[in-house]
Amino acid sequence: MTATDEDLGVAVATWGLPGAAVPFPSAPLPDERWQALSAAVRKARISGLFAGAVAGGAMPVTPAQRQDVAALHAQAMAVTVVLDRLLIELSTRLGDAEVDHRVLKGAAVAHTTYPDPSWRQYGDVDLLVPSAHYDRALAVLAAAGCERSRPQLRPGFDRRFGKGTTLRSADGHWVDVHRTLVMGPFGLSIRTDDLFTDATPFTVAGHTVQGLGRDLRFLHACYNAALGDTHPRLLALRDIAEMVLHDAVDTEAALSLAAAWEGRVVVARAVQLTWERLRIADRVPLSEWAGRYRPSRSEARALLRHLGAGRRYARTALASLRAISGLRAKAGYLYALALPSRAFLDERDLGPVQWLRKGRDSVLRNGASR
Amino acid sequence: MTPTGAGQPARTGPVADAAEQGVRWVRADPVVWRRSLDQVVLLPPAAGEPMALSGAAVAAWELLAQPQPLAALVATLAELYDVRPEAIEPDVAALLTRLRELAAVRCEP
Repeated sequence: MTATDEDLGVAVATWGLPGAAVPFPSAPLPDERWQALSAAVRKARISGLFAGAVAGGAMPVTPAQRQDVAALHAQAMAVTVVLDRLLIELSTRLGDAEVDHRVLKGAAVAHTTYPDPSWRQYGDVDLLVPSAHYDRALAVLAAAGCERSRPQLRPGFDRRFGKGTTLRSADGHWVDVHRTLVMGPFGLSIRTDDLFTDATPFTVAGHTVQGLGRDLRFLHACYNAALGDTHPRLLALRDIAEMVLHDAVDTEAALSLAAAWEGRVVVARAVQLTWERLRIADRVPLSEWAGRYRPSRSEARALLRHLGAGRRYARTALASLRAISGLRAKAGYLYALALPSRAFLDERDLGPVQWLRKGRDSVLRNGASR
Repeated sequence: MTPTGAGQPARTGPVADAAEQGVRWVRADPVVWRRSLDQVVLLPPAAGEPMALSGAAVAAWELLAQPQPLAALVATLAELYDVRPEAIEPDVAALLTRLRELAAVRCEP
């Protein structure tokens, strides 16, 4: 994308936000620019904001362009209503089985954070369950026709050490079942019990489900934006901006929790990225704090390990080992890494010896790069 | 996705009977839907895939947030679109029939 195309993307991503500083064009775009913008909106999954900007008159369009936007957004909304129906079914089944759970990300953010859920599209269902209920949750979802997309390292690994599991529903939609908010040492440092201390109820077609509490939801958005991709999506940043500017996050409470999770650097990075990339003019206490934040050496190292070039497996594994408490748990983690299940290896077309060699080579490369 | 406008041929039967009994029409709870620019995208319980409402059907859907008899719905839409009620009643009745078949709306006394 050219610099000007990036401006347009940011204008769309910040439509409706106070302090949005990037203007829309004053006239409909010529064809080639319009095609580029539409493609960028589709890729960034911000069709809801695009439709809002057109409907509200902020983005001038020709009649044909308006039809393009309508088609793009309607397509996205067709996916979200199917996912909402799936969410209702799965949440009902989990509730009937007395499995505590929270709805995360897309559906939860759309219904609790945005003024209009049609502004926020999503492409899958995300659920969080307590570690103690993890296996039972997966059994309930399997009975609903949701199958694992990939085998876990060893039986019980995902429940004990993983971020979660990805399932595929009977009609082909992705269902992510989370145990914590992010993979690796940052995820292992999260006190997962904290995630269930609060909740935000919301209704989907008359059915009440539980999302994370407001401050937890904000923290999750930060972890997702700061650690999910090296270059976070505009939508992930818009979520954070929406929460900070409209959702009245309790800064002190959120940062206190982040500190307990050794994640203040994550929040700082997420908010810094949001304000910089979305070019938000309004300054609020949290954005000021993030701008002034200076990570400690250990925080900087932890962030670099997570985001560093190639995200080397050995580096992440070793850092995860440090984050795991207790010798027995550390031993279980190492055992799983060294001796994965046959199903795990078969899925990757590897034998046990090849797997060990890959691990050895990765460790050696990690040592060489220090 | 299946488009549904308000231009269907008139049908007699359940909607006419309901009108005579003075029942009111309202959106059914378990319908997932979203507003999308000039359309409404919805997934009624009895539908296998999402459908889109456009034109006057969108206005009807918005009005059906509150229970109301057919006559009131028709009168409001007629005023909105500056047409005679009798000109649009068959189309509105057809729309309600279709939405009820899909369990997107229900009748209440």
